[in-house]
Amino acid sequence: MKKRKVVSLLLAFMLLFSFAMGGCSDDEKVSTESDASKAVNSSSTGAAAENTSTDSKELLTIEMYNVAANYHGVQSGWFGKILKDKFNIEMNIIAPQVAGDGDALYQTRTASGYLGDIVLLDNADLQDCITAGLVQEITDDVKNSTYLKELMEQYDVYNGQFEGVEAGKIFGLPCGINDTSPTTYSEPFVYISPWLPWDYYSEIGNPEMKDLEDLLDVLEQIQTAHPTNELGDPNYALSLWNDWDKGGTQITIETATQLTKMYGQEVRGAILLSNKGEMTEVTDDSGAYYKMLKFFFDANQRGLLDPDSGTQDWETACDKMKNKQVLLHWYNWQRGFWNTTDRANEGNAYIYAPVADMDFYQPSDNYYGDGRAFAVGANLDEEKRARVIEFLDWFASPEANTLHHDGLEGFNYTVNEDGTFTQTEDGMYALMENREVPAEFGGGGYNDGLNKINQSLYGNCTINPLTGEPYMVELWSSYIEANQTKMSTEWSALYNAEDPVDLMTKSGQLDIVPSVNLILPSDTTDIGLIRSQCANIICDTSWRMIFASSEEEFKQMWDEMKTQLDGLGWKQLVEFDKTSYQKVVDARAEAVSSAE
Amino acid sequence: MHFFKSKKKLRSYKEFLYILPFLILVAVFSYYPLYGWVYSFFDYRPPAGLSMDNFVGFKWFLSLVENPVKTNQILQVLKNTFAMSGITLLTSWLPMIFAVFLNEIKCMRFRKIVQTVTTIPNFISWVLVYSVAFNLMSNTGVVNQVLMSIGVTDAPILFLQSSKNVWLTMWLWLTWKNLGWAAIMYIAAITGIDEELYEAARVDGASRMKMIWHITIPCILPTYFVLLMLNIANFLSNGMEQYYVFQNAFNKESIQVLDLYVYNLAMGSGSYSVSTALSMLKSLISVVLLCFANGTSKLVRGESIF
Repeated sequence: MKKRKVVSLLLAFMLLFSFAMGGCSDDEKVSTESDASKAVNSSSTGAAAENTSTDSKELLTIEMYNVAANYHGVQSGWFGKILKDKFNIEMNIIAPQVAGDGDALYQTRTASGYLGDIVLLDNADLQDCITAGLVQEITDDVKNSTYLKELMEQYDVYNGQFEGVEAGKIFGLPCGINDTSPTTYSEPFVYISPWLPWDYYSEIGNPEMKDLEDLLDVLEQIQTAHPTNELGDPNYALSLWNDWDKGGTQITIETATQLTKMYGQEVRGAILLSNKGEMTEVTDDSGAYYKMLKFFFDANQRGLLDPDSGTQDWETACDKMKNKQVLLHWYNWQRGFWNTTDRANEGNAYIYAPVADMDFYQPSDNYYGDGRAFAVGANLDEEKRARVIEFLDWFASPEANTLHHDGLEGFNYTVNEDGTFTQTEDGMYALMENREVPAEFGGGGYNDGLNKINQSLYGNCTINPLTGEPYMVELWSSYIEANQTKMSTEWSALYNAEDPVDLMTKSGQLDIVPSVNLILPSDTTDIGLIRSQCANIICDTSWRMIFASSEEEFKQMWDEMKTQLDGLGWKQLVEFDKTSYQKVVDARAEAVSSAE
Repeated sequence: MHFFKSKKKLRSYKEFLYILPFLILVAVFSYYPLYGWVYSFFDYRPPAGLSMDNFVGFKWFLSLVENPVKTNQILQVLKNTFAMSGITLLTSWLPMIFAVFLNEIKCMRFRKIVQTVTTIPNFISWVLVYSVAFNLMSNTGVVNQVLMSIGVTDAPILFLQSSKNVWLTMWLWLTWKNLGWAAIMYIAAITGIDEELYEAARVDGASRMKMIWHITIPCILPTYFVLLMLNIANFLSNGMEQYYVFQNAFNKESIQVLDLYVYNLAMGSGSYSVSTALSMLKSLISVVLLCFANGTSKLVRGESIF
């Protein structure tokens, strides 16, 4: 009996103890982990310092906190091998996107005072980290570098915006810079424009389209002629999805939001920003957002809208696109779901179909970067700091950017006599099929060994100094030549233009907006609350309007929505967004004048 | 060694130690989180901590009802919550009756099969339930295909997009999912009924229905009332997963319950403070409801759970 009591007492204490330990495990774990990693790092760097003072080739693990990565852990595969051979480093990527609760990861790491040796952050977060002293200044290192210094102009403009940073000091290295010019647009397609299946459109005689009404007529004719795809599934002119709606500063439904770019406006929060630099409210009756809701509503009235639009998610809609069940595409990347060279040779592929009254909103190449930036973590020892800088400098080199954008020489592409590249068959399918990389590059699947940092310092429209052509494969002369199809020749002959951008430029429908890379203030709690409540109302009403039974009902819902919005503090939100985006308007005007 | 005046006292201290771990458990997981309520009095934005600079008092509580639009929203949400919880409460006797009838099945194998089949849905997550619903009810789904092929309708009926009968359909899905699971408690209670009661009744010539009515049901009624009371306490938190997966722009007005509203409000806007304020109100109302139910039970049945 006594024994039993003792045992139960012991058990009770054990329980108690484990709870007490469990309660504080969270913070403890983080600190022990980082201590451990620090210990590993310092021991390796310490040893390196003892060994040689100049040529540091001890294995070093660099931790990179990376908001762009979709991969968590040490970089492996062929890119990992390059890093190992070249610098003897292991890149340990910390990816909040993969970690589950990214916000919590960010908060715990920032609270512990160590985010990473290299950090890759969104603009607004980088500002916070600069203020909190989590990243360090690298001005002199950039000035004394081989490759980084070539982007000095962009770095100065970018870093000049940070609060609490002296003019001329560099903290952040913006990503994806296209070193063309602030007003150049290099790609052959704009981001948003109407795309139709060329075979169906030619079948009805490529009728000219003046406005959205005509577009609907054309879509109706096609849908009547082809009510199902080859497998017998129903075709719809438009198929929408709802899981990309709102989020962040966006308070509108994604599809209509994107389509406003066909009428010269872009939705930014509560306002419409035009390609002429004007700002109006999203709820403006003459604005493009209303126009697009009306377009969807009309389509539904005519039976051209997939009835599942309001309830299906992107995956479901995407499956339909992959089966050619959706007749109108608008993202330029949507072509990837159906178009292939073989199909294009049969004319069975999607291509831009001009509508006369459209006025496209297209920002230029990311001359100043794409909204994210690399920075070097604070408090690194000299040794590690030097090797981090060495890596970053190499990362800006043509060699690194070719690896990132184009892949491996001899596997993804071959070099022509004139120095330009030609894509190989392996190159074409490497990504799609995760093809095996030759043993000399380290073997393994191509996809598995891809640069998991998932960002580069140069964008893919930049001219590669090694070839004299852009990094982007689709812009290589060899690629363009090889991809001349029956469809593209027919299209060019009909419209007397090389590509859609050429056609839009000739018809005066394209006004390139200079892209700028600004650090905009984040929402206060009040504004955040208003935004979230307004977003719910606007998105719900938008969907109900699209499926309204009559035009009267359509208008009535819109008016009701505006009354409700006023009650939720809409005016305040518009005021806040106008102030923020005035900065964008000003920066764009400045970019234009400086380019001239 | 006379720390304790008597052996009895020593024993009571020891016995206190036995329950101490559980007291600590309750304190850590039930009372300590209440500290989080302070967030509702601050303007809390994640990276920055709490400081008196961003103390805002009752601002968030007042902002919930500061104008007719917002008040209407809250009222609509409460209406949905009460309606859907109400329907569930009113039909809370279903699992009990189900268990009683299940118990009457004499063929053991059939009984086990029925019980298993009705219990399994409880283990299917709501996300999967929705994908089943989508495949059945979407415009290319089975139901519409059948309806159209036998010529009942020409165009697909948009079941999932309609705001009609949402409360009812939600209740149906919930019942389908929960019925078998909820019956388990009653089946256990029935097993515990003394066989002698039935034997005596049989000797007295009672029919099967009579035995159910006069023995089985009265014996499991206490179980029913305890569960009912707990349900009432949970009146406002009728779960949000179900409504979250089924919600869309068209039915949101009738489907948005309090928990879902809190979620929709906080996600994407980081309005932690407002959400805290709302859930605080919720907890208070739940306590009041529980006391009310307990009081009523005391009055009507002369018994209470505390």
